[in-house]
Amino acid sequence: MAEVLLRIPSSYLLLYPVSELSRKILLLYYFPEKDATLFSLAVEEVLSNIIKHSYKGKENGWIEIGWKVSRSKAQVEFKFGGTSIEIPNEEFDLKEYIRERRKDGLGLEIIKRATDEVNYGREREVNWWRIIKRLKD
Amino acid sequence: MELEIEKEERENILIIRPKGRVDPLTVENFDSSIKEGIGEGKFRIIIDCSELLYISSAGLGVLIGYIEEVRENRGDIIICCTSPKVHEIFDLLGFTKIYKFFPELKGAVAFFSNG
Repeated sequence: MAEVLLRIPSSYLLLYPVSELSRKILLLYYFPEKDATLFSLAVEEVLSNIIKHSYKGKENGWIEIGWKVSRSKAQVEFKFGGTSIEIPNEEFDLKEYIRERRKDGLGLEIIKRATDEVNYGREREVNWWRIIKRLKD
Repeated sequence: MELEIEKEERENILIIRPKGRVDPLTVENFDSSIKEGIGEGKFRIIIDCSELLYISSAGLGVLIGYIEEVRENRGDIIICCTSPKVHEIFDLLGFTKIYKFFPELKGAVAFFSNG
């Protein structure tokens, strides 16, 4: 199993390099290209949500990103400060989004659909967000 | 990574060609390109994704925001030339079931021309 830890400032400029790093780590562990790419989308959307909602777009925040990847499972845990994030538990309906011209929540839906497990919590002023992808046999 | 937007008009159809990534840093640029077109009364819009490397949820939100308006004006936003990766993103949230997709620009133009 590989463990990689990275600490970055809360900058949108780092979205692409970090998601690309994530994709490449999964490829090294023989994840299929499609799974690695979808998981990297989830990584990018998690980071984007953290920067937008917890740090209100400011670049002076911090985000710790920890990968634990084996041949059967990829897990990324994000730890960050700032305000907590509200994750609504509602059913996504694209037709309804179009009717209401809604734009919020699309990133969260991408995260849910591109991963197998999503958990979020907050302990002692530190938020954590964990996403997991399992390889099916 | 930056985003460059190329615009072209053909047979009263506005073709918008984003080159690069549509993400939180560049989404305003993408949004403006569609908004300006609609403001000029162009409701038949093709998003040519042949040089689009990535579209984030922010970019998908832009497409959601304008589709009803153009359809109310007897137009549409149709999408063509997606790479497998970009197509996967659209497919993930069900865009491929609600928006019209064409593999080539020619087909997308013909759709409007024949309609």
